[in-house]
Amino acid sequence: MVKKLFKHEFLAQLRLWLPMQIILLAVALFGRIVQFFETDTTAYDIVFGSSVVIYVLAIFAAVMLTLIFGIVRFYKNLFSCEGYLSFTLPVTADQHIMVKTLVSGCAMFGTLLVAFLSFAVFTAGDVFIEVMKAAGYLIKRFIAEFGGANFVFYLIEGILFVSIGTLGCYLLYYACIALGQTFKKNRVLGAVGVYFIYYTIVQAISTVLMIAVSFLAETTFFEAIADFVDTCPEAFIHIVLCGAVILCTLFSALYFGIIRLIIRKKLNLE
Amino acid sequence: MKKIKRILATLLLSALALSLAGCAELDDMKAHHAVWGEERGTVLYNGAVYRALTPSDLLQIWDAKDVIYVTDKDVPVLLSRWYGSTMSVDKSGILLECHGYSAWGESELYTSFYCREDKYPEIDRQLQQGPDLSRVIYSYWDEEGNEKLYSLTADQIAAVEALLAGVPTESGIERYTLDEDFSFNLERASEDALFRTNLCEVSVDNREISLIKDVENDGLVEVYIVSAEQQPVFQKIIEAFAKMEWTGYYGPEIIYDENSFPDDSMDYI
Repeated sequence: MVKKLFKHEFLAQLRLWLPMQIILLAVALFGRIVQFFETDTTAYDIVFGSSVVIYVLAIFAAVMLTLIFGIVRFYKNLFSCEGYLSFTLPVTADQHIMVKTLVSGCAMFGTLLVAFLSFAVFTAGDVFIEVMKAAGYLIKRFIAEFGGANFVFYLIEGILFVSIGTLGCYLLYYACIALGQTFKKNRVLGAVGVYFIYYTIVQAISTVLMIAVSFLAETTFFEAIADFVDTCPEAFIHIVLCGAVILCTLFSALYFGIIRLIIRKKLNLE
Repeated sequence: MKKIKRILATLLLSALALSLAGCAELDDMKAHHAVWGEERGTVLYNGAVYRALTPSDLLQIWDAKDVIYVTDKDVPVLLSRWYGSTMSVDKSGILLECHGYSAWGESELYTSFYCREDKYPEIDRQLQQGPDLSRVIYSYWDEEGNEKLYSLTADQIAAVEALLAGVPTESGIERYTLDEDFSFNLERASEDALFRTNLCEVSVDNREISLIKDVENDGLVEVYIVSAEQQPVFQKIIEAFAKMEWTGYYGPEIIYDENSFPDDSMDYI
């Protein structure tokens, strides 16, 4: 049943995701075609500049809409009247959350892939080859500086961080929606309110931490950290990346737990 | 199957068509990209090989037509501005002037010159033997930013050299104490003006003309006042100077109107 749920979730996402990606590719293609008419005139500069701005906005819009589609799909499928049908399916709440999160994560990965493809279209030819050469050269220098083994592990840690971070981001919004359902009225507004309360708390904690760090900067503990960064920068990057992965995992688990608890114990569909 | 083949062929043709369009910005970057030869003794630029010259104070590129970025062979053109050393190219394309090697995280400062291989033997020979600096010139930039040279006549050169051969009127004074109306530099130069060295500065202060020569690089100078008998020759030099089509050109008549001179000579330059 989970397989079917995945299939239908993917199909539902694709209905909105696919046209959006086609538009992104079309914008990139338009930008590339504009470059066929390259001349040293102000008119060309304006048209080309506009095509670049539109292209950048299209990438931003594609990423944002993918995020929004995932959140809206979660809300509509589980907490609106559609939820009555969804919860009759022989799958657990955990499976519902996992399927929604993973499919949304895949959609985001797909969007990033299409964004890269659109970049290839926008810069097709010499420019794209030169960009790839530049990226290759920077990687080569990075490997020369930090070593091949470190590079491979940074890459794995980076991919893990981005993947878990993306899923965690979706889970955060899902958790806010789930918490909004505990309100008696105006549940969507409640979800937005929960998100703003979360945001304010995070900002307050960050500010307090920054002030604390500035006060503690002169202490031996921080000096020891600074010495460690100087002497072992490679290890420090590993620690930062692994720390970020662990933190993201913990927070994701927390959000998952909140959603699970509300769906299992507090669900009260309108 | 036929349909799939057609779609594939269309896509491939579209990709080929898309890759055909150039990019002026990239072409420009390629045109300004050069690569180091073996051990940085040579530079490959614009299809020509440039060889390092013996360092000399007589060489300096005044009329650089372009700035290029020299990198190791494996550095892609898009990163040439970050990983490359900046070099000036002279107007004729014969000389390159490097102001040091710099790249992210490492830098070495020095000035060195590279000469195009076909001109290298001639220029290197002149450097080794000492070039013939028989011309005395002053240079200026026209409104388009091109360097123009004015050569002093034989009489004018003789007058300048005679004055400088005499005893200075004042010496050891610091340069900033002079408050001239305007001034310009005279240089000794080779016939093609490739080799140059500073000779003196012509200073006009309330109609009194003087030649100023640096003692050392410590701001101290020797001053040679032009006598009344020598004035006509030097006024010809100044008149020619005023006729130059420099930015901020005021016209020769102003030379003789002492009230029209700006207070600060820098206003002219």
